[in-house]
Amino acid sequence: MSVGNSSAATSANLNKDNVLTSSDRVDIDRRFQEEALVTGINSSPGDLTRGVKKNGTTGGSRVEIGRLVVSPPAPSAFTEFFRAIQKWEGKVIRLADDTFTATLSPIVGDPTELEAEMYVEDVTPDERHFIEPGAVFYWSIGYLERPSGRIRESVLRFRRLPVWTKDDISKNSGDLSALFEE
Amino acid sequence: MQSQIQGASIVLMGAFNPAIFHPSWFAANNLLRNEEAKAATVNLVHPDAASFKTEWLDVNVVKQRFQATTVQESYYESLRDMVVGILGLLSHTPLRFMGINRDFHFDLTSEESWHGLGHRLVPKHDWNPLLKNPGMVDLTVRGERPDDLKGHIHVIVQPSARIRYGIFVEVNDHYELKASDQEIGGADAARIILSGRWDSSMKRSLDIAQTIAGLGEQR
Repeated sequence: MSVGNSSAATSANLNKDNVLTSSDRVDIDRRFQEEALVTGINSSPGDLTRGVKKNGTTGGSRVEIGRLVVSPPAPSAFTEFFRAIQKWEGKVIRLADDTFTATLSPIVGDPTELEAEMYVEDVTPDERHFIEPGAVFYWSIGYLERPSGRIRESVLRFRRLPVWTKDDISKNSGDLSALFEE
Repeated sequence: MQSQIQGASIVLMGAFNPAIFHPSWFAANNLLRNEEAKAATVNLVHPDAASFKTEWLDVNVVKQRFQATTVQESYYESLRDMVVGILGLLSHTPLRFMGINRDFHFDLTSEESWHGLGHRLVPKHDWNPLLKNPGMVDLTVRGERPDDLKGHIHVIVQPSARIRYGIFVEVNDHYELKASDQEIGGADAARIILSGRWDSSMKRSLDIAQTIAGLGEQR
């Protein structure tokens, strides 16, 4: 069956409520699985963790909705791109009235570890409740490239999950073979 | 060589319920800020597909595939954390494959360097008798994983669609997880890989892309 062939859906029967019958649905699901899991031609399912890009004419996966077989929206074309000059993972050490002190471990840029005092006001209001000792955040300084031009920008965002740091990550980076197929 | 534009995405393949992937679900589960969720552009949320976008994140889900993408380098770790959070919440989701992807657009600055890279990657000697003025438009090379995990690494090189005399390099760090289609599982493995191997994956992809882009200058 060729990619883009919509016969699976068009040959299906609708019941009186104009809904696909369950047998057709199963059949479509089966055929859908056979042919629709492609992000490009000549791909096998095991290769399909590539991102679907707007470069060239690579298409997205198709999806069946009711009796139509359509392509879901491909990832939107971004018009703004942020390029980091310096990026740190920060960890809050202590909190004062309107400032907090944090260690900064570099992710991008100068590899020097730093300790910095930062203004609470620099944190977006709905993330200020995260500011407490041990909280992890990411701070980037770089260029935001926009259609109207480049601006220098600082982005600070707190981690929104239970706290773990690079030390925790390294503890997790041991032997994972038991989790995978032989 | 520094890229002009870059992005990162995480792709999961398994069995998903797209209908739950609404920005409000992300906010309710502390995966996105409330304000981000409220401001999100929802293209589609349906039992068969979901698609929405925030100022830094693009999420597209069908029953067999989840993809989250950002082109804001400041949010790469937030992208990882968000997917780790999803995998924690949906820990029984059957997953078979995961890709940690980075893509880059490099400006090679001159037509000579641009053609030079194409000739270096795909020598034209054998093509010249077959095609008039052959040129490389898409190259994919697969390598075995350099670690103890199952999967492989794809490197895709194309002319950039965004930069004149630029190239696009995508590195697909592909992992095969334990579960089959019929088994429950795989989410834990994906979560552990994202937590423990993210930095090495990102660095490897950057090194690969920069090395390839640099070949145009070495000619």
